[in-house]
Amino acid sequence: MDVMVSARRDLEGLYREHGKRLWWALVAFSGDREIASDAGSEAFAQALRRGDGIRDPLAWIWRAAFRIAAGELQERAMQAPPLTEPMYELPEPAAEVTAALRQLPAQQRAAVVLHYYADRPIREIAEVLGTSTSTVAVHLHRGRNRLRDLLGDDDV
Amino acid sequence: MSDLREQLRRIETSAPPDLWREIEMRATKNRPEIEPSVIVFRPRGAQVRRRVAAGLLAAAVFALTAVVVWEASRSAVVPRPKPPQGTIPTGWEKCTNASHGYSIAYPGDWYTTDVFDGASDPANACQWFSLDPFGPRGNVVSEGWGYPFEVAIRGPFDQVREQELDPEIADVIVEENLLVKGHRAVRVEYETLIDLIGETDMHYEYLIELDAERTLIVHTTTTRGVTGVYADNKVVVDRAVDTLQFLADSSSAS
Repeated sequence: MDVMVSARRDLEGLYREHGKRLWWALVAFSGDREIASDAGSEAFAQALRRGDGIRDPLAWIWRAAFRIAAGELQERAMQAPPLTEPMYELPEPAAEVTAALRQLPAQQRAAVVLHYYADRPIREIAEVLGTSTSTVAVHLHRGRNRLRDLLGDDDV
Repeated sequence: MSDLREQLRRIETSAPPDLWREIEMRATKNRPEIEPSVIVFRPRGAQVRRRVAAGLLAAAVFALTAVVVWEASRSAVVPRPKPPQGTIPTGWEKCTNASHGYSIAYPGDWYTTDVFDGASDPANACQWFSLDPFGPRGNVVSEGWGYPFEVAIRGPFDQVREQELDPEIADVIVEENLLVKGHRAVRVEYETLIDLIGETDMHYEYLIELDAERTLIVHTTTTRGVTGVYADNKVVVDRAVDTLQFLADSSSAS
């Protein structure tokens, strides 16, 4: 029981420290606040259910949250044609960035968000995407070039 | 001018919602603990009889399922009368991906495309197979698993195997080492442990070592939205693997 309480306290600490960044990363990836909240909550909830059975809870939660969000996006894509506009209105700077990100393929977008926004290590991104570190490097290279065109910033 | 990191940080336009209460609610919702207030008292004898009956019913269902699964897997994988290696079943079509150096056959009434999100690329050939026609934008679902029969190229074999069968992600049901056309391979079936609100997915696939750097995965899944019957799709995957040809092997043999 003490172990459960301790695991819960540790996870709440992780949520307080990293939850905000995870949520924004999921918004950036999915373009949708609802998916971000759903995927983030479910990832933490599943970690909570597993107690102390996870070696690296933070990496596990990032991976779970992105896979859940990707599943939600995939399900929506199969139910309806892909949307060209974000599903929910975001304030201007966020809307511009998410609109640019939405033009990248899903794996490229996830790699860019996880690396450049969330500062997750490449090895961990490879695990999230179920691919190799060299493929992640290719995604990052292509994604960065594409965003440079879309956001019109020479320094990107 | 800002760099990409700063550009992306512009997305933080307001405070995110505090989800901790929602997280705790979700975590307890599926936990198999019963509140004392919802336990219904029953006479002990009736309770025992009910449990025995439930146990017998569960055992019968399990036995029946095991027989069906065993029959399906036996007919799909083990001593099926095998055509000569590389022979394409009647009614199937051969598909060649010269970029990655393989050919594989698929049912002739299925569809395939090399178009991803509107852009055609020969390197995408023979990767996505579907019972339904692809639209003009081709594969719009994902670069991962979204179709009833898919082929993917990944990194080194041991690394891919470790990633696919990570015990924190996958509950492995079948793991069988074998050789496919002389290439190291493993046939696996697993259930994902990471799920959305109680829904898990089954995955059935062959990981085949293409060379030191690349692994070819032939795959099907029950992931939501994927068409067809999972057991039938597994048979398609088995038969397709029988038809695999590796172009480098053919050229070195000739």
